[in-house]
Amino acid sequence: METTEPDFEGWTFMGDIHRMLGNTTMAGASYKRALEYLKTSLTSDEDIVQSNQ
Amino acid sequence: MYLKAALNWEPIVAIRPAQFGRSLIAITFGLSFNASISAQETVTAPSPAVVTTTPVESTTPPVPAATTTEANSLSDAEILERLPKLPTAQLQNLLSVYARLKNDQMSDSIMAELNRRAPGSITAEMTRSMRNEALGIDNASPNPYEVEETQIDVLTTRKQYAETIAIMEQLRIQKLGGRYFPLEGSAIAGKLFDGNDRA
Repeated sequence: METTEPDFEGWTFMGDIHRMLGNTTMAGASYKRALEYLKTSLTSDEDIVQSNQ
Repeated sequence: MYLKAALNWEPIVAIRPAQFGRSLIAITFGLSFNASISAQETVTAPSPAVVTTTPVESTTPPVPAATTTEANSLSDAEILERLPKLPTAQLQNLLSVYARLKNDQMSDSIMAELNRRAPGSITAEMTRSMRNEALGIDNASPNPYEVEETQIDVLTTRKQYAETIAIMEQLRIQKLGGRYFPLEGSAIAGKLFDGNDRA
């Protein structure tokens, strides 16, 4: 079965689960991964826009 | 210990053909065997137990590992600079994550940008709800019929249906002006009562 890297929603969801279980450290780590994913997608979107111009 | 007993067995076997009494043989063997045990206990040290270590599966979830993409990602200051250019959907995504990270400065800035784009109480309320949801705060308004619902739940559990109906009727007449209950699907239930949707 092919697996893919989780996107920001996946990391956010995982963080919510950790937060619900009281594991704030893991929740924070997952949220940071979600943020990094978003930031990376922003830069890649900009790259696509610049290459199309 | 086992080895010593085997060595002591030889004289006894040698004695048996000579027609010694069975009891004497037994005593001889018993004495020699006991002696071998005591000697064994004083001389030999206990052999070290072989400890086999099996890998124990960790119950803690793995910490998300850092990736090489982090080096290429934007800083918070760069995000703030780009806020006016970013699509609204991306701003909402960023808000949901920054709010979860309890980064108030970034959250407030993104909320301000969202409200600037679509000023109005509905947008502001939606943005606030989104932030509250991210922070795990319940957005639902308080239920005005909570006391009655609890009462009804308890009575239904006890199978006191007559009392349940009495409380519900009292609630319907006194607080709802004789209308239908504001429950989910009440519109459909009302139509069914009126006979509008009956085949």
